[in-house]
Amino acid sequence: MFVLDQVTLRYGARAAIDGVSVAFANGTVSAIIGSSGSGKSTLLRLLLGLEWPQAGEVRIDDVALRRDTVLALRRRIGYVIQDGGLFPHLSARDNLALLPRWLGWNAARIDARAQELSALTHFPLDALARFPAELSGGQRQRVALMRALMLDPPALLLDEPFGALDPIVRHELQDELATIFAALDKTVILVTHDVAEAAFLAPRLILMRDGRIVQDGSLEDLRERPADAFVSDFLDAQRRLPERSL
Amino acid sequence: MNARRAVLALVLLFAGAAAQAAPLRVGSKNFTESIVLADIVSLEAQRHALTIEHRKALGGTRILWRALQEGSIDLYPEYSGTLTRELLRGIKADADLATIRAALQVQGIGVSEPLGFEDSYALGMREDIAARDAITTISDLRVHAQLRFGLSSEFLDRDDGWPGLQRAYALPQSPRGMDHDLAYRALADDAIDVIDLYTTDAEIPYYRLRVLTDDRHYFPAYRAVLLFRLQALRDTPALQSTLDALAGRIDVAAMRAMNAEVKLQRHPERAVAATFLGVTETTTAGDSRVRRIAQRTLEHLGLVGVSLILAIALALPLGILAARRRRLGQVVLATSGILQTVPSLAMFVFMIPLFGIGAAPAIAALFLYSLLPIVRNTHAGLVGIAPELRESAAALGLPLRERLYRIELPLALRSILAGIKTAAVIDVGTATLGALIGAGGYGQPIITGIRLDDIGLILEGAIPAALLALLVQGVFELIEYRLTPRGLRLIARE
Repeated sequence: MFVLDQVTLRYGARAAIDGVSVAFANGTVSAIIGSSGSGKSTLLRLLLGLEWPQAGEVRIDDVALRRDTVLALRRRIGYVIQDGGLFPHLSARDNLALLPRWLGWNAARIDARAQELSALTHFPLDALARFPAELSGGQRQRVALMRALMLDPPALLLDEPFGALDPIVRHELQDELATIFAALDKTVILVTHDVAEAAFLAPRLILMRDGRIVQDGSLEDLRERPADAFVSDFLDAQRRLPERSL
Repeated sequence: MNARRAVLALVLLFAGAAAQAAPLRVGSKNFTESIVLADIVSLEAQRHALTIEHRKALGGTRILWRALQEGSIDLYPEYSGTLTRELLRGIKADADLATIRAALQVQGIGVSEPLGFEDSYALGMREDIAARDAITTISDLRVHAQLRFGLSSEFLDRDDGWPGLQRAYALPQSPRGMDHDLAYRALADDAIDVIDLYTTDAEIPYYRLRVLTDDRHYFPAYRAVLLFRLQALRDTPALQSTLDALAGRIDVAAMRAMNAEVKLQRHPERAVAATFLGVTETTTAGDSRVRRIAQRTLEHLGLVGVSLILAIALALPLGILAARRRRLGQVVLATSGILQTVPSLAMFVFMIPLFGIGAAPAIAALFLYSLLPIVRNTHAGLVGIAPELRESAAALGLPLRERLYRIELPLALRSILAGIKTAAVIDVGTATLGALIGAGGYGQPIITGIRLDDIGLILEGAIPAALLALLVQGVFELIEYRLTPRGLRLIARE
C-alpha cells in the first residue's frame, strides 16, 4: 500500500530521512524501531503528507502523494499519536464525530459506528460524553484509536501510542491491540523505541538510525543475522529484569 | 441583546442627524469665554430666525480650526493674534483686519468685525510673591530662574506662546504643562509661581494676581472676532445681520464680568449670554442628573460598542492571517503596535479631516486603538495551540477552513476574548476624550468640571466611566466563562 522511493528530507544540513526506500504491503503489520531522532516518526509523517520530501517520492496505492489530493488520502489512514492528540474542547463523542459529521454522516450512523468501536476497544459507552481531561491515559488512547478507525480506513499508523501510559495499562492495551490487528486486516505501521513491544505486535521490524534503515526483517533476522554491530547493540540495550536468584 | 439594539439605535440616530436639513453649527473651544461667546452668537442668531446648533467645548484651537476648514462647523469665536501668529502663515503678527480677511478668504473663511474686546495672553503671578521679588514686567523674570512656571499645554506648544516668548525675553525657566483651569488652583496652593493667563480671566481679581507687563511687546493684539465659512454665509444670508449686530458690542469689562459669573458664581453660560443680550432664555426644563447620566451613558456605549464591533470585524481576520503567514504577521502586528503609540488626543485630532467632528472621528480613533489587543491576542491564541493538536487536525483529513472553525478558533477563543475585553476596557477610558471633538459621552461632564473647577461635575463623568469599565470587565468575564468549552475549563482547573 505504502511505498517510499529514494526519499530524502533535510532540516537544514541534517538529513532526517536519508535516501530511504521501503514498501509496506496491504494487510501487513510492521514496526519501525530506533532511538529518538532516528527518523522513525518522520517516516510516518511523510506517509501522511505532514512532511514533504526534497527528493524521492511517496506513493500510496501506486499513486504519488500530491498536495492537492493529500486531504482525501489522509482520510484513508488512521493516525494515533502519543497521548492521543484528542481535542480538549470536544467530548470523546465529538472527537469521534468530527470527521464523519463533516463528511455528512447522520447522528444514527455515527452512534452506531461509535458503539461498534467501543466494543472493539473495550471503551465504556457512557464515558463517550466525557471530555479528554476527564479520561484516564488508557481511555484517551482508546478514544484516539476509535477516532482513527471511525471511517474504517485501510491503514493505521501509530506513533508511540503507549508512550505516555503506565506499565500495567500499557500491557493491557498491547494485548488488545494485538487482537484488534488480527481482527481487522489493515495495513499497520507502528513506531516505537521498545523492541519487545514491536516484536510482540509486528512480525516485521524495521530498525532505523540517523535517517537510514539499518535492517529490515523479523526479530529472528535481527537477532541471529544482524546487519551490523549497532543492531546487536540496540537489541541488547533493552533492559530485562534480573534473573530471580534461588 | 439590548446592547446591540442600543448600538443600532445610535447608529441610526447619527445617520438621521446627518440627513436632516443642517442648522448653523456654532463651535466653541474648551474654555468659558469661548463658550459664552458662542452662546451669545447662538442667541443673537435665533433672534434673526436662524436654527442653531452649538457644539460646545470642542477641545483646543487646532480642533476648531480644522473642523471649520473641513466644514463640520460653520462658525466659532477666535482671536486675531491667534490667527496671525498661529493659524495663518506668512502674515505679520500685527497685521490689520483687512490683511487677515484677505488671507482667510483664500481658504473660504470669513472674519467678522471685532466684537469689541481684546483677550491677550499674559503672564501672571500671585500679588504677594511678585511683590516679594519686586517683579512687575516679564523681563524681571529673567533674574529669577528658580520660579516655577505652570503653563497651559496649548500655550506651551503654540508659536505665539512659550517658544517665542522664551526667545524674545531669553527666559531661563523650564515650564511644566498643565490645564489652564487647574493652573489657577496650583498657583493659589503655591505649587507653581507663574502661569499664562488670558487678560479677561475672571480669576485675576479673584485670586489677587499681578499681570506682568509685556515690556517687549511680544504678545500681539488678541481681538475677539468670529470666524465663519463663507459658504455658510452664502447659504444663510441672514447670518450677516447676526454678525453686524454683534460688532463692537462686547467690551473688556462686560466680558470679564461674564467670565466671572460663569466661573465664580456658577451660572450656566447660556443664561449669562442671555442676560447680556437682554433676551429671556427659554430654559430647557433643567435636565435631571439621572437623565443627563443616562444620555451620556448611551453616547458612551455607542462610541465603545460601534468601534469595538468594527474592530473585531477587522482584527479577527487580521489576527488569523498573521498566525497563518509569519512574515505578513510581523507586519500586521508591527503596524497595529505603531497605531497604539499615537497619543490618544492626537489620534482623535487626526481623524477630524477624515470624519469631521462628533461621534464618527471618535469611533474611528477608538477603532484604531482596539485593533492591537484583538489582533495580538488572536495571533497569540492561534500560534499557542499545541503543535500535536494542530497536526492531529491536519492528519484527520479536515480541510483548512474546517480546522480553523472547529479546532483552532475554539482553542484560541479564550485568548481572543481576553483581547476583546482589553480593547473594550481601554475604549471605555479613552472614549472620555471623545468629548473634546464633540462626541459627547462621559468625557463631557469631566471636561466641563475641570473647566469650571467643579468636582461634582467631574465625578458625574468619572464615576460612571469607572463603573462602566468594571461592568464591561465583568460582562466579558461572564461571556468568556460561558463560551469557553467545558473541556477547556476542566484543563484550567487541573
